[in-house]
Amino acid sequence: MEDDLDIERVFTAATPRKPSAKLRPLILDALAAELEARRSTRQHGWQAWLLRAVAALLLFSAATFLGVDWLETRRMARWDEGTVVRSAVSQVTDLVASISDENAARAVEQSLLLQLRSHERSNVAAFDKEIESIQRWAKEVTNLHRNQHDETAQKRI
Amino acid sequence: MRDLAARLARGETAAFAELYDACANQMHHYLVVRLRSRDAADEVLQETFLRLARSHRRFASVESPVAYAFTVARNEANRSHERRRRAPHPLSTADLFELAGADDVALHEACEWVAQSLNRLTDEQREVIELKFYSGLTFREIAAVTGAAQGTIATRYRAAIGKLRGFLAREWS
Repeated sequence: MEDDLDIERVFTAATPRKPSAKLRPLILDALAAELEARRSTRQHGWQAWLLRAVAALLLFSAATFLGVDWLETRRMARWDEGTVVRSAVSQVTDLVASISDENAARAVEQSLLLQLRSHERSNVAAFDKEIESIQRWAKEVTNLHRNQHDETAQKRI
Repeated sequence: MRDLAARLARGETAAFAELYDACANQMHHYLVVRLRSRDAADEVLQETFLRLARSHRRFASVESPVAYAFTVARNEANRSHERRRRAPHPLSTADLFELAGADDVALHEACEWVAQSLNRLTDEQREVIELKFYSGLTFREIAAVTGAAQGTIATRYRAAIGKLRGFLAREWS
């Protein structure tokens, strides 16, 4: 133990040589510059984050607007097409009523509306085909009716 | 010390100046012993403080800022040593101790003996003796700095003291 103390005494008697006095301001200046640079980088980082957030918000708003607009346009188109088809159905129903009787007209109308409803649910483009087929059918029925009428008139003559 | 650690973690320049004043002399001496060059020690001391500034948030989870600074200094010294890859030359008394103005012959001899003794120890023993006697770290702190177990540090210290005792006995005889 005493030897330990002797050794410690010898070691502590020797004063360690200090670093150059010029080193302190050199290191502390470099250190302050480094800390300042990090602080400003952090600040710029925060600003960049804010800019990114604003840009993302604008993009999200534009996308939402476009999406809602598209959905609304589609809904309106469906509604318009439905109106057109329904008017065509009522024309056909009137034709059937004039050719046949009221019960047959109602049955045709119910059948057509049922078909239309199933098309509305599945495919919007099917409206066009449905309109075309109903109008074609209405034209055929009208022509048939006209031909029958003409034949009857000729027979009478 | 906890307060200093908190201020260092916040990146306060004044806290870094405080840390420098608290440990730069001892750290520089440790680096001279480790790198065997005062120029290299100057460079590594600067690198160490810059690294501490770059990762200042780590001080928030540090128990002893001085011991943590020594850990970073040790890592920097290892990196610098790998870069240099020079054959180690012996530690000179003038590099390690204040001799200017000291007329005391006994003091000169003591400095000479310590420098020679440090040269004869192994790297690990020299590190423990340096950190214990000149840096004033506890065994626990030395264990944290070197990454070795506290028991291993105590064993290295005892072995180093044993060797030094032998050198001293031979010197007296």
